Amino acid sequence: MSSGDHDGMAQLLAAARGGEDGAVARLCAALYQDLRVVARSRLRSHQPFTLLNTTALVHESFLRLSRTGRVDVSDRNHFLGYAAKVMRSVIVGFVRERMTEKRGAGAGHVPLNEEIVSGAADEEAEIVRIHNALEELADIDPRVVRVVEMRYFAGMREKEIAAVLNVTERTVRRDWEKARLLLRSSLQ
Amino acid sequence: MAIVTPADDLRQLSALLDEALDLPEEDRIAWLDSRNGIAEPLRARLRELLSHRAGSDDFTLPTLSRYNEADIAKLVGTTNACPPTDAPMANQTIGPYRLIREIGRGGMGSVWLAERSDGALKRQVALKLPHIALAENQLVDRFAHERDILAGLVHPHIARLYDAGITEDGRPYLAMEYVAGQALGDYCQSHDLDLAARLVIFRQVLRAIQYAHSQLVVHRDLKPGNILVTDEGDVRLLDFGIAKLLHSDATLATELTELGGPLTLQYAAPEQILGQRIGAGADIYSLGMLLYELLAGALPFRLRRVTRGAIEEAILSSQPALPSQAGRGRVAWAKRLAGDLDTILLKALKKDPAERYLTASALAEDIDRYLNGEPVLARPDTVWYRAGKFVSRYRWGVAAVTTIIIALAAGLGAALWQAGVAEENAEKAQKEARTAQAVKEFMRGVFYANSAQQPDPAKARETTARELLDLGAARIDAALAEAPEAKQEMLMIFTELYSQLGLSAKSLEFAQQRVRLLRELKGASVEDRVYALLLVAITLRNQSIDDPEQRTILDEALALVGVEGDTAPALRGVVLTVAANYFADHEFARSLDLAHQAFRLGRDVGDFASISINAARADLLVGDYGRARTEAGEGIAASLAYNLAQESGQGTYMQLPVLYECLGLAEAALGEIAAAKDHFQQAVRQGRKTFGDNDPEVVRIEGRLAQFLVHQGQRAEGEALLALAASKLARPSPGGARLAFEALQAVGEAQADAGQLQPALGHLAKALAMRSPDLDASPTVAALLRAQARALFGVGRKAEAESVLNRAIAMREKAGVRAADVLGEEAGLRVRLPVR
Repeated sequence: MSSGDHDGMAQLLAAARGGEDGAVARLCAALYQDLRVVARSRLRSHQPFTLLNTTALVHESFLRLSRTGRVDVSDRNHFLGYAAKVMRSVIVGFVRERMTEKRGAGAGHVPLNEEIVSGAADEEAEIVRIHNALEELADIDPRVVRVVEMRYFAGMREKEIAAVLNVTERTVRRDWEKARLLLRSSLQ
Repeated sequence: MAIVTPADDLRQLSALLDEALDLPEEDRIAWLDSRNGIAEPLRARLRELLSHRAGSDDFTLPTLSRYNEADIAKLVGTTNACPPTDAPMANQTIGPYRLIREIGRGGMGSVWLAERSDGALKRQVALKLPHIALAENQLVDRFAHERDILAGLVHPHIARLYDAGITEDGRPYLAMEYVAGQALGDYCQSHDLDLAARLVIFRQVLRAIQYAHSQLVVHRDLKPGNILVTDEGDVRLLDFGIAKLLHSDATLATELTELGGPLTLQYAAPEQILGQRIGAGADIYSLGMLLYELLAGALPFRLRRVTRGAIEEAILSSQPALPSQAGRGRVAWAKRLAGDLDTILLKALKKDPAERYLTASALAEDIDRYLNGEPVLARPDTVWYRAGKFVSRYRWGVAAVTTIIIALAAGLGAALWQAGVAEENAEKAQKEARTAQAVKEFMRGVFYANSAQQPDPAKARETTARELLDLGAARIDAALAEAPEAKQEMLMIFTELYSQLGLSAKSLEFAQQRVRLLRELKGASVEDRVYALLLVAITLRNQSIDDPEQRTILDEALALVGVEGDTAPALRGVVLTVAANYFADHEFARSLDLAHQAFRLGRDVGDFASISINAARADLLVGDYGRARTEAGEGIAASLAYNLAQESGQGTYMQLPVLYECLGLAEAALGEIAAAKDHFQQAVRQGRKTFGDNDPEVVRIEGRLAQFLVHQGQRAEGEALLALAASKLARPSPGGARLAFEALQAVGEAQADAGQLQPALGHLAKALAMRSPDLDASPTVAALLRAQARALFGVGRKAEAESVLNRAIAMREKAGVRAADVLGEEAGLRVRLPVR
């Protein structure tokens, strides 16, 4: 993120919240840069992504931006909601990049401890599978997709998600249940 | 990808699910049976989905972890995490886990064997839960901290973190690899392992710790209960609960005392007891304790009463008993422990972290050497070894201000030179406590002043280090007028901080102020005063080589260390060396005498390597090449011995490259060509490794080797190296003016000899411009002028050559140097002068 949009983040959040045209896209582009930087600096390339660290990164990004005054703390839930969406593409981008690298590097490299690494790599593969399944759902039920993103990539609670989507917690639970069933159907 | 549902089906499925999910769960199948218009494969699929009850499913989206909840709560100003109200019980569900039984309990919380309650993964985990009463913000912080640390550690000998999170009711948990095993000591006992087998298994622990350190994590609570061994003999390290990220700026409590007692005192390092800065060395100490106990069958300190105070005192001040004499071990082992294993263990258990093995792998390597019957690198203590440690941090050529100050700030200087004055310690400790308090209050004052000037906290946070430093600097006089001890310490800290920021003029100002304060301060130690003076001298030299203020400062320092025998030899050695280096360009005879005096102090004194370099360089200038060769050789021998003891043979001792350079120069002058080449090459190799390829010391050494090669007729090799060295002169040079000068001079002289006359003249002129025009007795500058005269002759500027040569001769005469080869060179140049 360039220094020029120091104030831009808070404004973009407000604009996105107010449904302004293109605001979400611009916000996501800004967040994408930021999260990529955070992700790059925090995750060493040889370590697989896990939900643990992706969630942590989203929150870290928020903490960092809010401490520098670029995001208002009262905007936390909205921020996390958008950041979750962006985190999804950051992670998937990274994982794909790495898969390409691995293929490129050939079979010469054997991880120090195959067993341990593969456990987390499975989780990485699952993150990508869920991403792909969500792609399928994006046109059909965008709200369900957002609920999954917020729970899955930002570890948000039902109450927080409800506040972001402006629906009841019960609706969030129902969406989550639906997501679970649809993803089950897709992934099996 | 297992996406089998076409988009249209998915759309229809989605719509149908909306209908179904609006109904109570028990009515959904009935709804499906009565719902028309659903084609067959979809109907079956829907039935399958709806028949899975929530939570009893074999497919669950992974549970979600939350990041540093308390931090976020603090920012938002509220916490929506309700503290749990009941203690964990078997069969209770925590997040996605079902508790099976408690397997551990400590001051912080309990650890339960648990398994996934949703059946998503059939694996048992060790679930770590905080005590209820603690499940508030601080603890949540701690859990998040441990999780962050563990998430970065993936190693076969470290129990892995699988998952972490906070349940809907606000209870944090960590799900870790469940290790079914025995504590290390118990395992060795029950398997009746012999000494070698114990060492072999301990190496796994060392590997795990080495890995953690490489990830910048210090465990800080290594004890038998945290090291389990599985039935297969695999070690797993547990409980990074109070581990710390090195260099992290997290404000998490770093002192063990604040953590409410998880620390097992017996294995804690002295610096942990003292609440000092904890580094990897603390783990090395604890590893030493663990291994000691494993091999000797007892801990090294025998206590009459086992109280916290008695243990602390033993850790801080008792010398550990030799493992071979610890008594409770097996008699048959005592013999095997005596010697190398005694030495290895005592090295790991040094009170001062800098004296311990620097890394877990260095300890492991010594254990390997012992197991292979090779000599170990640890050495029993010698006086030289102890004193050498301090000054070894001070790189002679660079004369790095910061390294001295850091060593001083770490309290090493005082500790070393005041060995044997224990009586004064009580009073000293009181004084230090008062000083520490004053410093603390001062620092607090700086930050308050910042927020007072800057009422907007967001702006106050953006205050730069420089601004904060200036703010503090402006307050020193007023705030610490009544506390001169604290003031002098503060001045030292500001000297260092400004130097770190590259503000050397500011740094010098504070160093000088400190000197003035110490002059007046009653009871200031000679060590403090001398080092304050040397800092000023070295800072002056780094800015401007010939700054005349150095003379006053160094004379004062020399007077303080008095005559031989009056002062600690190590301190005397440093002063003589720094002074000799300055006077070499001003009063050469005096410099030679100082350098020889220092050398006579012997190799048991502090920084013998720097002392040898100084003496060898002086003797090279005066033409006493045999003596220079001996001095360099002795310096190398002492450094190698020291190096072996300190660095497990990595060859990183900082003075070695320069010593080899001196040796090569002496041998070249003595006609020992093969040895000279070998040693020059060694100097280049080690210099690159030690200082980095572009360091001015390396450039200088490369220049000297290139010049030697050109003289030997190996022109191609010499010119290639010379081109490389010259190319680096354009870069900004770290290490102060003196080193930059030496690099320019060496390359310029070599170019003059290689016939690269124009570049030679450029570099030599540049070097000369760094020196005071008033110099009239410097053999170094005389040599530079001779090279300049050679180059000027070469390009036909004979009149200039003559005047430069005359100046060189006068300077050499005044310095009192009458080396045969120098006189010969002058004569050779003279015959080329035009006949008048």
